[in-house]
Amino acid sequence: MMRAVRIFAVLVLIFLVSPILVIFPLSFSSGEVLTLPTPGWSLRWFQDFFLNERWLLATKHSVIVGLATMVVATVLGTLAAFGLYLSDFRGKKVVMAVLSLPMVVPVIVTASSMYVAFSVVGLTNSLTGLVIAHTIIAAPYVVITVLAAVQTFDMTLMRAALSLGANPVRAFIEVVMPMIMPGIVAGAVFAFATSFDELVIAIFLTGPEQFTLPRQMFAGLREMLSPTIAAAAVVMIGFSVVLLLITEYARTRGERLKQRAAGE
Amino acid sequence: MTRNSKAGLALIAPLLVLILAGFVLPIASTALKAFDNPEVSAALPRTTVALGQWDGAAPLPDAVPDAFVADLQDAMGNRAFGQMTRRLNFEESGMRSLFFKARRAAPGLERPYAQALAEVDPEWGRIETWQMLKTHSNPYTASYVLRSLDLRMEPDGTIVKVEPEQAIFVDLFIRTFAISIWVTVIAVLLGYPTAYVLSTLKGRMESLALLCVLVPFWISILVRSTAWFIILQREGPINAALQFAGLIGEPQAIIFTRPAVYIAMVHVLLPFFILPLLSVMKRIRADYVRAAASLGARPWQQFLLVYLPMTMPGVAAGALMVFMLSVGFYVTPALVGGLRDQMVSYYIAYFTNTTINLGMAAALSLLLLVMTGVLVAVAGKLMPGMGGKQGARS
Amino acid sequence: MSSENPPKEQFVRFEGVRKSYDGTVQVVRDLNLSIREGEFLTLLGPSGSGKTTTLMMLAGFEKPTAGKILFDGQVINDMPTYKRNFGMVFQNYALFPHMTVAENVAFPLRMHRFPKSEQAERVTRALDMVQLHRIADRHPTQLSGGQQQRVALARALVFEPKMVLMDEPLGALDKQLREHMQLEIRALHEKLGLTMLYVTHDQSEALTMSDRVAIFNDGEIQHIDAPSEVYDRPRNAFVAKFMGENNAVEGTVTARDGDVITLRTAAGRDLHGTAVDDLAIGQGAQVLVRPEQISLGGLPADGFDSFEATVADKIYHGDHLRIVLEIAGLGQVTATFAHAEAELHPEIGQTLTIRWRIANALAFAPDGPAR
Repeated sequence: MMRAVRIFAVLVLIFLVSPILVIFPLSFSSGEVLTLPTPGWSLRWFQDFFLNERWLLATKHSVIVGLATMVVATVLGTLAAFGLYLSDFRGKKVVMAVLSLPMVVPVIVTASSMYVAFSVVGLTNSLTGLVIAHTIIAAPYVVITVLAAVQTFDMTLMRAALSLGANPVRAFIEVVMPMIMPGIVAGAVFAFATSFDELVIAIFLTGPEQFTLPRQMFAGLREMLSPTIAAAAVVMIGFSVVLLLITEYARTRGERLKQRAAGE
Repeated sequence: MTRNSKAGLALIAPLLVLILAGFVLPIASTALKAFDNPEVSAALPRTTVALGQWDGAAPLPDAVPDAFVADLQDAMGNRAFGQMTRRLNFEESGMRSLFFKARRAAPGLERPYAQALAEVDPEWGRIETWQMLKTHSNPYTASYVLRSLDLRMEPDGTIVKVEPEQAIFVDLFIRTFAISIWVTVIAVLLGYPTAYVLSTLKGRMESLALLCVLVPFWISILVRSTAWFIILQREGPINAALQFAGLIGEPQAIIFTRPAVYIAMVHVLLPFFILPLLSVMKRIRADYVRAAASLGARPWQQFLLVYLPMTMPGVAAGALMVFMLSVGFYVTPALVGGLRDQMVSYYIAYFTNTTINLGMAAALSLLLLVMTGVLVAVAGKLMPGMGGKQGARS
Repeated sequence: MSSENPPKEQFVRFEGVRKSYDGTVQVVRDLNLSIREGEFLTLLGPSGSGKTTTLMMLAGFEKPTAGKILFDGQVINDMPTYKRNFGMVFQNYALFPHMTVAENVAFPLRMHRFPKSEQAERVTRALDMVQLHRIADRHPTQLSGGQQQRVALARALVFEPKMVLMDEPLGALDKQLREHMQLEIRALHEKLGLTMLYVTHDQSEALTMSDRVAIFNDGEIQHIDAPSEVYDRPRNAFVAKFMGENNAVEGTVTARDGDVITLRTAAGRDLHGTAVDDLAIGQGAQVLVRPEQISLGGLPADGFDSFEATVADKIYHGDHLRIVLEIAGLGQVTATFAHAEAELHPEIGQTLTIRWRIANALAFAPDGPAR
């Protein structure tokens, strides 16, 4: 019985990774069409990707928007998380609900509403508008990760620092920051990833001049299915794996600190 | 309020303001736009006043056609007029040409205008035409929301079903929720045993298996949908493999079918189910099941009476996550599904970007929001422990 | 204290200090307390008695709702913690997990801007003092509970604070280690001559370590004095019952001769007690006798009350013997004996004579309803 369940699980895991395993060989194919087995191997599609102005511009836009979103969402999200942790006022629940709304509203509704509202103030067809939109959907995740980190932080450590002569700002920098840094890093990486991968809002808020990498891929898929798309997908996978590694590093570091804080 | 609370509010304020202005306000204006009906009153201001004084019953007072012709004479080459005709044509086809005909004739018309208009087109002689114009001179309308439910309002105020060839939206909502529920069910059936096996693994095996879930989780939804788009092609690897194996002669149509939508959506959403469930399973100590065994429970009883109930919060959280995400899915069905497999989101995008019928886009958005909200609330009532905070990507 | 000035009597002073978190429940009510320079003062009491809140107010983590806290004659109500210059040892040590032992100890030196050269020297000396110089480079999690405790002490002492506050610092240690650390802290106090304020709910800890003990209950100091005074001459029934064990016999006052009252139990038996509270004839009262004050055998004598008692139970405790005695008209009382003293080897069911000194039987008003 248990054996059957294990085999089943292995099949599901293979299902989960299979598209990635298929897309890699296709991107290194020497053929013009996306078929397996490939007629031969070549880097021509990556060459195509890296020499094509449109793909490069789209990549640049994605990185710019991703980094800007990461910075703004991390700063605003971290501040808000501390604000929520420190304060206790009537309506705090309502504020928390409002802050988490962007996570629960279907993206399509968000995207189409933002499109209409942003066009009034001239924020459509602009990277600024896209950064604002991405910040709004990414910041709630930063709030959650940072709040979780802050909540496990032992406030007596802060008190200890104060009693040993650190003023509140010093105490925050010397004691609180190093302890919650993994949470902030995780939130920041998540914010970057959210923006970097986001397509639906980009469809509504960008024109061809502002295309991001996913938007360019989506356009490419509708025009003509060339193996360059597979190469673009591999480039995006590369970004994702790097982000995953950073998060895992921050997570294990955070857990080590937490274990230390817990004693034992 | 304490000093801490004031400082806290000051820290929350920047993000709160951003979300209120950039998110809550747009969504609220979408909700309003679903009922907004400015076109007629903008294009025909005098007629709107005259229609407002009319009780809607025959005969039509002369003031109305008088005002109408005056408005038509001002409306030469004006954008509002075009928007109004498009708006009314959406309600009843043929309206666009009727109005343009009237506008062309307007400069040469002579009193009594009611009769002159009826000579331009007999439709202008029918009281129903004016009743309809009166209905839509109201700055608010329920017609978008009604249309989203395949209903419309007759000039006399009764609500009727639209003609069968126009009735597509109820089916659309049913399809959207049916696809979402099926995707959720499949994800639960595939994900639960997988999460369980993962929770029992240790060391290197655990890292490897976890990687198989985490890597797809971190890869963009578009990239994964693209992968399925390629794999499921007529000339794609699956068809090639099946042909090579001699199982099929001709390539089969897999892409642009419902099964393709299920395969791709389940693949995209499965990690969102497995990860929260796994974190719950990891926290369940083996002692509980051992205790059940020592108290005489058989293996299936240990599972059904002890383990399963303890993992239910994880199942609920993960299933809710999958359902909520799939209800609003756009990219995956747009790529691998046919026209008959599109969900509400496709039509929201269509009305926003292609036909620029913002009222319909708003009405569909509003209904999608409300229905999802109600469904989630009902599910929350039925399954306690639901709605736990789950950080995940959308 | 080697300083030329005599130690200040009012080094720290609480004047009419009140604290309430919600505006209705008073955690501390009208606290008036002076701490002498160089003394070891322990705040002892059950949980929720206000002792920790008092310490937190002195540390600057909580603000009094009313009243003044003075340090060396200066009101410090609004002075932030980091300017107060009090070392503090926390219940779970609060060592910074991301810093090594040496970095933890150096932290207050950095904050108080000690010269770099002096920092290293002081850290070494402080770690020597608590015998931890060999593990300076480890992280706190790699240490045992006792070692963590010593690091916390070193960290609180290294910057020569004006006084040291300790909030149940030994609560997380096992019994043996706790007793060992009690002696070490006591020795450090004697060596450094620092003023120490110590909070605990463990009475034996309070008795062994302190110069004075302040017993808290219901947000008020019930009794503050040297350990022996508090134990032997409790000012009220709460203190008597909180410190050590007591047998309580209730009844009505029927006679009074100076300090000595006669109490009649409901069953009509008379016994005597030394009145601590003001007791009038006809009033209800209780007489408290500690188990170790009861002796076996001995004849009735002046200044003693003696009774016939039946042994109801006998419990062996290793270092002492505990006997439950049934006295007609009085009920059950417990007595404890060292083995040497228990040569009579009382058996269960045996009847014998017991007695106690009336001076050791303290009479109080009955317990009021809990506030």
